[in-house]
Amino acid sequence: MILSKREKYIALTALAAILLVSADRLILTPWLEHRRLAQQEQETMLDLLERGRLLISRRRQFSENWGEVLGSSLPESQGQAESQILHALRNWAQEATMPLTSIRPERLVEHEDMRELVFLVVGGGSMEKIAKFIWLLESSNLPVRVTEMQMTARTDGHDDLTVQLKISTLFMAGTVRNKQDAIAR
Amino acid sequence: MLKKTRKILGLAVEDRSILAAEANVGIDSMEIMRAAEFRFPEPISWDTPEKLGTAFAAFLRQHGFAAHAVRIGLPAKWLLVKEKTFPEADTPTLAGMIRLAIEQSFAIEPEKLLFDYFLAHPPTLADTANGNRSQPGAVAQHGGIRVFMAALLRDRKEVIMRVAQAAGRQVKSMTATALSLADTLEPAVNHCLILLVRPERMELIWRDHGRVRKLHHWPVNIDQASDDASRKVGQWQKEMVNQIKIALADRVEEWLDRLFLCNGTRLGDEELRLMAEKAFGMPVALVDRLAPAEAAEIDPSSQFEGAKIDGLRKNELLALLHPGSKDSRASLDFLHSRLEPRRQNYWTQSRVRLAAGLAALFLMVAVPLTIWMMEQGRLAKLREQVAMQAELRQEAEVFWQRYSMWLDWTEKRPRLLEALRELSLAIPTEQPIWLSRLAIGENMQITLAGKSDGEAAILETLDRLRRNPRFQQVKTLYLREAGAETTFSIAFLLVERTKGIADE
Repeated sequence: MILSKREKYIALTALAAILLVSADRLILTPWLEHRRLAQQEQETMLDLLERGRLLISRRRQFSENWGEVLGSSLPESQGQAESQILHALRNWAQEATMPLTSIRPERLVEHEDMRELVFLVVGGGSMEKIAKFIWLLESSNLPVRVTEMQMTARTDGHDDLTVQLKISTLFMAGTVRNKQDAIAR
Repeated sequence: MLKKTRKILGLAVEDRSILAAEANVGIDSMEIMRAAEFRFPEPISWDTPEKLGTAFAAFLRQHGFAAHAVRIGLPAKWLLVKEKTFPEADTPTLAGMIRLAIEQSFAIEPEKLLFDYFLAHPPTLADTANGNRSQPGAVAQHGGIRVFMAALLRDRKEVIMRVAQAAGRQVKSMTATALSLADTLEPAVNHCLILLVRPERMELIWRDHGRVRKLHHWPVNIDQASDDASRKVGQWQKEMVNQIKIALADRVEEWLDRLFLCNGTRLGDEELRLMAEKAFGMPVALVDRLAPAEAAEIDPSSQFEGAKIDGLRKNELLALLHPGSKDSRASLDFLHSRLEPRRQNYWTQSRVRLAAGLAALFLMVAVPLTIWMMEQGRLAKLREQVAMQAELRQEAEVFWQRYSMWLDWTEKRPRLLEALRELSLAIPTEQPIWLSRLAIGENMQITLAGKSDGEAAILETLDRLRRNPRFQQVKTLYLREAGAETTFSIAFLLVERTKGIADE
């Protein structure tokens, strides 16, 4: 079959167009889609690795501090926590010469591996004594903090106040067997 | 099937001119597109190849020649030719013998010459029966291989190449114009003489068994005086008839079928034909237009429109551009000599196409596949690393959760003393105001309640609290007069100390 130049060009153009479209549909587009998914997965993996590296390095960095916290002050059980805080409160009250009229465990708040024990402490005295008591509490190494404070004047015109404090302390949950385990994990 | 053609430029070179014709040449077809003669303007000559090439390029542009591939046809007088018979041998041995013979046959130093040859043997009976006109390596009936040898000055070839280069053309082959014509003319006639009559020289070709056996040329000056020319033609006739009779053992009539005459002069065709017929005593055919070769379709519309070119030179151009003449190894080609170490043209068109196809296939398949494999490899490595890290990461996550919870818990300790200090600085001591109740929440929300003798002290307290940047969202919960005293309650928020505040 002899084709004219025009027919030849049209046939070649049509053939090239068909080839291009076929190559696009059968090869290029699926390949690009596959690449996109692979790159996405790669990015996710890299992100996961980077986060993992960061976590592991942070763990190395802070495990010593955490060990100190566990070794020095963080109680291992509720009983130990109660005992520790009661002793501390009594000592601070004695040192500040501020009598405590009531110390009562109020509630237990559960965090993942830790528990928070809240006490309601009531006492009285001058502003100076109360301030000293609070200072001793805030500067302590124990895991203790005041969540609420309420002061009320007992007698008008006199430096005689009643103070009510909500104090909480932390201790390790029972699922964590011991401190070494907690550090290792 | 699409018919594939390509543009070829045929150049029949002479001492002071180049005859050019461009054709679309296919496998078995040819169509002459244009033809023109370039006469060298003074002082340009072959001695100034670059200038000649530039002028020739301008000429080609002017006449619309577009082809880049060029076939060069050389005049017979530029060649040194010789015929020799060699003993039977295989092709490499024969080539060695021919090389030795050629080096001894010509008076010029071999280093200055380019050589080529072709076999000019009479075909065997089997060849004749098969219609095979060119069977390289076949042996002549009389026990030898007859070879047509030719030489060209190497300098001439270099000059032509430089001219072509300066004209932006690529020379594909370089042969003798007369031999091309003899090879193409009336191939069915096996034994004939071909006489090319030009104004300044004559060329005689003896074709034996379809192959050129002898090429003679000698100068004449025909156009100036026809009487003188006739006399010279007569002298030459006798000389050539004698020579051919000796060569053919006086059996000219037996061996020769016809004499073809190509007239390139102003002499009348018929006058010349009768003259030749009388001298040779054999039929003389005047060649007006080259007949189609076997199986070749030369476009009947081929025209040399506008070009003042005589019949002989038209035929030469047609022979040069004849389909398949480039590949015909029956003729000479000084660019691809049989004596040169055969450079295997590895990159033939089909191989180039195959390579391009493979490259395209490689680009379309292998490259994406390689990239995909590399990505899969990277992914596999990453997956492995993630899996190896998984246990450590999980432990670190648990640790960090616990530790951050601890940090968060300790960071959120309300600084009660600091709040009391800020508050005592804000309460005016010179005003009669008493605080009865103070409450501080975990989020440092502070509520004050108290009483005063009048509103002024309370308002002053409010102003002080609002002026202190540590206290924000200061608002009065109530302000109530109860007899001589005014009771109040104020709420506000103690915020963190910022750098700016600390600087103040």
